[in-house]
Amino acid sequence: MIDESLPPLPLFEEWFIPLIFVTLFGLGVAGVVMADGDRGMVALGVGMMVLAVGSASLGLWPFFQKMRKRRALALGGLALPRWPLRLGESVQVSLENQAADLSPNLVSARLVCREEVRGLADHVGRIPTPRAPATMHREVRSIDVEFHGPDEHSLRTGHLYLHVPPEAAPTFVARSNKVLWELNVRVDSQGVEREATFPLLVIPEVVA
Amino acid sequence: MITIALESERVEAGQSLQARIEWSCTDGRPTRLESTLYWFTEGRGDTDGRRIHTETLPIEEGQMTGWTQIDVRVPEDGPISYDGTLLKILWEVRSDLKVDRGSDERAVERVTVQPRSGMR
Repeated sequence: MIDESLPPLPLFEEWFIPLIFVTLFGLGVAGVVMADGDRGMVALGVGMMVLAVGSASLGLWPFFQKMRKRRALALGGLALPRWPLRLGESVQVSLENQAADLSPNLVSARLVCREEVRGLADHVGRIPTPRAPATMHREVRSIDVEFHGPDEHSLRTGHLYLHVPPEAAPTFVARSNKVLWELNVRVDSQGVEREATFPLLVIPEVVA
Repeated sequence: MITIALESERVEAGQSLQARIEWSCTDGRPTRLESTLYWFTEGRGDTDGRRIHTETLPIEEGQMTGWTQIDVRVPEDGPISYDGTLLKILWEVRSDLKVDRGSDERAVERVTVQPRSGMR
């Protein structure tokens, strides 16, 4: 089972600052009003407090919604019948979505092979030009993957059919040069698009 | 002068690479012949590489010609030869003849490492 890597949702967003400031200000004013001791003023203070907390909750609502939808779309992982993969191999991979149902028109996937290199020097003509270390990426293969699902027994499980071309390069990882394989899955559900990347390992063995 | 004759220019990962290396020297005193199998990267990034095997053949005094045979197993996990967009992975056999009171000599021969064949 391969787990995807989820980019973290920011815990703090910029618009929280004015919201917190306004809420604290409202609560402060309510406190001052209530300190007067008069029954009417206490009622006014409580009203202001309810208003401040209510406004804060309303302000945070889209954020909570985003978190809820995100959790609902979390992909459980991929189950591969064999690991690692070989060149020329075709495999049926099981895909599970933890909370939302999978539907063929909502799932799209790509098998991607990309090169990643890290270098210090560039060349202008024949003269080496020093520059800051940089990492370059290039997709060398992008293969659309067929999705079949959902399964009869589980609406949250489907299958992807992967085929690794026999003439492709296997996974290669050195200090500054890499050839990497990954499966990019995109799920569009409840109006929210999510992409998940599953790294794959392809060994230098070609299926006869 | 050094000549590297590969039994085959293509070899599968995990298989043996065999080569016959002939050398001759007309100047100075040859002391040893070093033969190495290695891979390295070329391209936009910094170079990576690894020496897989090195064999040193000592040469007796007065010997001005000779040959040797190397038989090296290419690692199963490669890497295999690759000609990509940002990087290349190249394999070579190199022989260096060390010569006292003369100039060293070198010969390099490129090898293609292919993925091994597997069962379905």
